[in-house]
Amino acid sequence: MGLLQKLLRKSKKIHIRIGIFGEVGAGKTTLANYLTRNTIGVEIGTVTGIPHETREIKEIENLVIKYNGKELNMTIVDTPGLATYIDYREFMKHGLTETEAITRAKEATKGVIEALRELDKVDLAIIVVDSTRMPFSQVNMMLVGNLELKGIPTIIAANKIDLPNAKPKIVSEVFSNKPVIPISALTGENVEKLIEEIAKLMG
Amino acid sequence: MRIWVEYLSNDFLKKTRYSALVHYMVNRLLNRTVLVIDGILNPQIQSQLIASLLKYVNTEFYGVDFKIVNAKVFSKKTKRMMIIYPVTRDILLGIDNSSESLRLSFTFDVCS
Repeated sequence: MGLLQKLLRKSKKIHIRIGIFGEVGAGKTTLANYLTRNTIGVEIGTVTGIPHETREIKEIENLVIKYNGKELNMTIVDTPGLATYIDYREFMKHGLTETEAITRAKEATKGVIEALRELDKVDLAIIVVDSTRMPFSQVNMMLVGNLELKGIPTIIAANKIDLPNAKPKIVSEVFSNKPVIPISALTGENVEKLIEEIAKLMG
Repeated sequence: MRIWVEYLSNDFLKKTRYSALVHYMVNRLLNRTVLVIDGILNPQIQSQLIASLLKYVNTEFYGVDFKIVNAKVFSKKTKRMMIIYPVTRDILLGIDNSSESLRLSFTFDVCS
């Protein structure tokens, strides 16, 4: 293959690192699992009802998606849920012993710090927002503000639209200067639109 | 038990270097001080503050919380202010805000 051909072929391939961020319980791992399960057949992490289930950065490389003749080679980074405080007693309400809860709280705090550091490393960010809750939390505002200052393209995924009390319109209103895609990471509804938006922003 | 409330003016925020400001606020928040900020902290400082404080989380100190209020405090005009307060095992902070006033209440859990 000639050098020019090689360069042309290379130019069509786009490698991007996509960070999935958001509050605890927003559905970040569920979305990451849906994306990886449907492309390479593996899941990135476990989902339970206990808060802070993801306590360290998990990533899967080489997820290839073709869009409009371009090939997007993605690294999906599932980050621990962000929180400004962690009360170990919350974990005890989910059946953990005091010792287990204290350990989990320590791991969760490290996870939050790692997730904040990851903001500097991604090419594109997906902020997963639970559309059954009010979206203007300080964590969401801080995330959007940080990514804006760093100039990182951001998509808001208004998650959990499969639930009857979901209000994705409110999410769209609050983040009116960002692309907001209502999705269900659980059923996969509209996840294709999210991928289209990624391709549009990075293509 | 003693709780402090400290007002940080916009001038103070502007003249203090980024790292020094984070260091200052971390020290205050770890020492039971509620910070009333004139304006909204830059998001990068917010994340740096959270990351710095979470290193100290234990069974007594859980981190911080933020609240944004609009009030006529220390000024004739309504201003946006950010209240940053420590979240601990034994103190619960209540914030009551109207356009004319800002009231902070502290509930102490002496049993815990």
